[in-house]
Amino acid sequence: MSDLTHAPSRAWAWLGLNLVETGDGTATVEMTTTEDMANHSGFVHGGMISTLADSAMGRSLRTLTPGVVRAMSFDLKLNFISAAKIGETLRATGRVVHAGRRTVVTECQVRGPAGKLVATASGTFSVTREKE
Amino acid sequence: MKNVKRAAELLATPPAGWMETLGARISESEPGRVVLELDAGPQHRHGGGVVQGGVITQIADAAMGMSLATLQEDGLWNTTIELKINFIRPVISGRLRAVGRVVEMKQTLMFSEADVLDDRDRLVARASSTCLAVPEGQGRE
Repeated sequence: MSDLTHAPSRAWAWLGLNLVETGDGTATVEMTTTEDMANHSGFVHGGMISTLADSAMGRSLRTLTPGVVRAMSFDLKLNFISAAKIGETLRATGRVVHAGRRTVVTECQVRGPAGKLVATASGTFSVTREKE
Repeated sequence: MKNVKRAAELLATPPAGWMETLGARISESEPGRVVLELDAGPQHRHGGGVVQGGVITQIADAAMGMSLATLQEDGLWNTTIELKINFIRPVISGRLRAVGRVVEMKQTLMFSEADVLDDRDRLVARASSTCLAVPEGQGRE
């Protein structure tokens, strides 16, 4: 069910999100931050990091079997741990913690250069799954 | 800073206060990781017949706070300022284990996570919390 071949959504294209890798219940998405993503302090805006984390978690559940045909996040939580500087490439790795028939629980770590922990996230998704 | 002495003291101290009330105990303790156990029974269930979420949250919160405390200096402890939990599977009875671990220690804020597992090591709940460093013994006699 790897989605590496799927065309990115408009939002992914606009933000420059790039799917780097998928595994068994995992997905890694990268985003190179630009001036347009800055907050008032000149660091990367938390909303941008939230989008990246949500995208990585959303992609991670697309690797499940039976497959996920539809998914919507209904809960998203982030802890912002270190500030990210504009220009840094952020790498979000999403991982499925629990895969149910109707809901999937995921978590994510967002890391910057040298593996610096920028944020941790968790997301809960409402899903429709293929029949076994 | 690994507070090995504090980790050992946590393990050696008999349950008191809320731990005694709930029947929880510390079963493992090392710097950065603390495990709490609770034998779930009828006294922990709500009207729906499964263990009440607050009980699960309590042991997860304590495991997270204690895991952070094992990386703090003597004279400092922590208090939870934010906590999130996903309940993944209901529990009726059996041994629950809350495994708390440190995600990151910053100057004023500390981040931790906990898995709550049932007696077959299945994931019952997953929690994360943010804690604030406070003087040890604050608000106590």
